[in-house]
Amino acid sequence: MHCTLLWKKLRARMVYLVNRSNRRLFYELVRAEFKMADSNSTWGVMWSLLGPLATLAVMLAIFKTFSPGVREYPLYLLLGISCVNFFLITTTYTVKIFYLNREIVLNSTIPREILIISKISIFVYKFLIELTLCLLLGIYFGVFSSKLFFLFIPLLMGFIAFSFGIGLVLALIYCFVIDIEHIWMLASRLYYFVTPVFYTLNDISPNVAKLIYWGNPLSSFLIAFRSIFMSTQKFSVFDYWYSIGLGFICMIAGYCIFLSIENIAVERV
Amino acid sequence: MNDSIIQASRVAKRFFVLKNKKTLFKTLKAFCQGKSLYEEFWVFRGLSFEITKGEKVALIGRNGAGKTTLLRLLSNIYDITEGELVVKKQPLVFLRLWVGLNGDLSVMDNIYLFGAVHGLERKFLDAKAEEILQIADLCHLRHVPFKELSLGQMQRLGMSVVFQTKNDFLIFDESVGNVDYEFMQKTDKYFAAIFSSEKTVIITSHEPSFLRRYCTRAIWIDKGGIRMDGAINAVLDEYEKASS
Repeated sequence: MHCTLLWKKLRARMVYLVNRSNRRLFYELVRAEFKMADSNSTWGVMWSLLGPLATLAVMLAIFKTFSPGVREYPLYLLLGISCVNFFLITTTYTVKIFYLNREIVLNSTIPREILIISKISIFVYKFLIELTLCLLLGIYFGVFSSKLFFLFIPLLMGFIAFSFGIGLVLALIYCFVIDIEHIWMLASRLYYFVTPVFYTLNDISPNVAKLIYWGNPLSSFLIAFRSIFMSTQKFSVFDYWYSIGLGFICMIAGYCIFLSIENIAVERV
Repeated sequence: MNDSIIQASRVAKRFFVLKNKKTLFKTLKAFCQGKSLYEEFWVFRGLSFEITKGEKVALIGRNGAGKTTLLRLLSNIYDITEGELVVKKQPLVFLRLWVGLNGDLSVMDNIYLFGAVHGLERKFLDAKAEEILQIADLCHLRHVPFKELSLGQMQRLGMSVVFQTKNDFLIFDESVGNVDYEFMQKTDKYFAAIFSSEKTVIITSHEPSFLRRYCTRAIWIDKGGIRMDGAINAVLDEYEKASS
């Protein structure tokens, strides 16, 4: 009974979300985000590249002897950094989104998830710039193969859906337990280590590798992204579909939770 | 045919408020004892009223009486705790006039952003932008970041966009204030037009003269319930008597 109601609510909300007025609002919010991002900065979008490049340089200097199994290690590392960065920036920002937009959340009738989606769009844009850099590096190292590249868009969608779902749930939890921000910040610091960013799963013991693969959903995304960008990394159909499925399941679950308690949650903001 | 646009039957709204200061020790103590740090606070209980299409209703009451909470319930921003509330048409809500405005963007960008939040198309605003700037008297400041405007100028810009909206069910929450005499006259003209139209309007204000001028009915909210509901002058007379 509850599931049927929720399903009806979900469908009605999706129809409402994509109506003309909300599409226009989304366009204006995204436009505002793009205008604001780097608007007062001289280097503008270059900062989006310099951040991951600086992390890459530092990590490369530290870990270059760590993973000799990968010939094109800088690309391997940059893909890892970019994916983890995107996930962390998106979720760390969305965790406080209802609090930061308290005025609009409590005083207007716009669908609140539009705020998150529009904010994520700027992070997606920056992520795409980083992935373009990865693509160029792949061509430089001679490991880029266009054969698998058509699989990139569904995987990217799955990854965005995954980050959105997790971000939405964190934003709801924040309304009740503010400490989640600090807990998430602490967890984020660990993410570079519990995700195969600078090492491969073959470098660690099989049990730890299993734990990292099944316990950390980011791992499968990273493996799938690398297998698309680097022909030297074995492509696994399972990793690919598992990641996409996981991403969309996270998004649908997060969205259902959001629809069930959004009004109660924003009262607490 | 029932012309009602809002039907509220025994509506109640409860919030949870902190009993006392929240510290780690108190949180752990409450957790161990299975108690809550929060206690119930009922803003109102048993509110029943009906608003029909085309009515101009003033919600009055002291600060904290629950006027804004009621407006948020009617706008589906909050959920009711008890009772039944049927709102047959989604209202256009103006609870804060700076909602949707972005301090870092220019005045022009904010016209489009604020307009989109209130359902106005970019194409429509393209044609109206000059008029909006003229009404707000901000033509010379169109490229200035919004945060550099004074509070009055911000409100003028917000109101000037509001003037362009076309919805036939409007909700205003203490929207008039901080603007100069000249702009107040423009605002008066706008309200005179919408209040003489077929539109349904629900408004809260602490200016009795403004409400007397435009509204036909008032609902006085006091101590968690409706103290009086009736013709504007009768309710406001009683309200003023009780306040003095």
